Amino acid sequence: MKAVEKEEQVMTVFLREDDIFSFAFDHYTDTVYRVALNNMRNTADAQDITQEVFVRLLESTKVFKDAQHLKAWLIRVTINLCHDEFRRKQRISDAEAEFSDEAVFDGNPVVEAVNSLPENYRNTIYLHYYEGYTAKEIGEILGAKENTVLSWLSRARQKLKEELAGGFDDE
Amino acid sequence: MMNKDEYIRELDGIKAPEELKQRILENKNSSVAKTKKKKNKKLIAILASAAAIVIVFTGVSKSFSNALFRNAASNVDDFSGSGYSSSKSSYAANDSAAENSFSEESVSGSTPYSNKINVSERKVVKDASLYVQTKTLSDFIDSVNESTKSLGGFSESINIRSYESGSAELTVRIPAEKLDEFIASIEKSATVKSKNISSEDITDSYTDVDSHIKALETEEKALLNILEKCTTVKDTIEVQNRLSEVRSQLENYKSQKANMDSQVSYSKVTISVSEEKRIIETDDSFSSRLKTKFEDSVYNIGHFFENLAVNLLGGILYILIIGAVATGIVLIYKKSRKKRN
Repeated sequence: MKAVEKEEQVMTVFLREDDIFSFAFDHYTDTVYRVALNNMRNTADAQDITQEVFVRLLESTKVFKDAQHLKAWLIRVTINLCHDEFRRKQRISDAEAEFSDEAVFDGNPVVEAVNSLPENYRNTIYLHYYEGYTAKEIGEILGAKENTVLSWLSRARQKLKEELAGGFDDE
Repeated sequence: MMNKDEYIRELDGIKAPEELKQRILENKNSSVAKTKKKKNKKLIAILASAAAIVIVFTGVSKSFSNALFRNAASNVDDFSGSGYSSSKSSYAANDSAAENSFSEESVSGSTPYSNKINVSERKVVKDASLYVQTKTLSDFIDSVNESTKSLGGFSESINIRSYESGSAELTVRIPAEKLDEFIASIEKSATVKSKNISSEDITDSYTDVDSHIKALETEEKALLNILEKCTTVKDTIEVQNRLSEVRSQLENYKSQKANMDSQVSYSKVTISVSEEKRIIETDDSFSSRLKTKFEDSVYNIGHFFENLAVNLLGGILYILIIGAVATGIVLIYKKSRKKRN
């Protein structure tokens, strides 16, 4: 079966399915966990955030147009919760707000370099290169204008070029 | 390999742990139960007692019926619970108590509860993730689909990240015993840059879920007996409400068990693939690296001129239109100057 036909089949299955929670759980648990880990950088907090995201989904009465809409909502909620949790920790103690030494990415220098970027740059890199979102879609998720996202992307690439030999996506 | 490819490959290895997924499902069950139980707080304690008496009379052991009592009591406590963490821990405590008491029964053989869980067979989930490069993406996808089908597996999803650069992520499910054969077939049809095979023993979680199912089935039978004996409409409705809660939980646990069976029987293979015009075979010697770098430069320069030619030739129409408009403007301007002179 050709790739494009398979994608359409996946979308059609979602629209027929009534249980949004089951669909989100089956298809996006890993995505949510990955976004949480990317932001919190320790597995315990990432797991708590992931659980909370699905609790929010249970409590939500939102109507989702399609699978992409649901996925974007999940990512947005995850990032917001991570942001809130980080600020909460910062208010308690500046020391606590620092990231733990847990080597969640096995000390991979590329991932470490991306994760050392400021929050918006980091999430933009992740959403663009890993999830394949355009600047406009990232803007909708992060609540920013398209041009702002493009600027974040450009600055992130620049910072990564300084950190990493060969830049990030330089050919 | 560009750094972004390494970034993508590293993130592909990040999966939510099974225990986390279990907790999420338990939260769902707890959330569904909490809303309904707010209305039937007293009834749960009474029905649990009645179910316990029925169970004792039908000959199930004392420790198993205590587990049912504890389950009902913790559900009552959940009304004042502050968020999902407290319900999570109370479930965990009761689950282990139920499991311990149950396994004692099965060892001693004294229970008339005949459906024993067979834990001699470990439940292991074996998954794999591969990062490969191929010359032609569509051909690779077709060959993966063919291998998958021939080994009795199925394709779960295909995500085309970029049609331009030819990168995609494929997820397929292969019968666990055919996993090695499948990976060998991938290694023949593409250049495998990295391979990760993981095994996770989920026997404990599986046993847990099975215990839940057995306990709920017992409670369902007990409630059906009670339902037959109800004389008032009010009691009948209350018992039916509790019955539908039990059945809803039973469906959830059965669904979890089926999901786990599926995960054990079918290995999940995630293939991250990117299309390269030239596939570079790695070799660390100096001469080989020099050769590779030189070939890279030649390739990049050739690619640059190719793009330039495409843009110029492709945009020839625009150049012609702009040229025509500019010529028109110049002619009109010259004409108007002549008229003025």
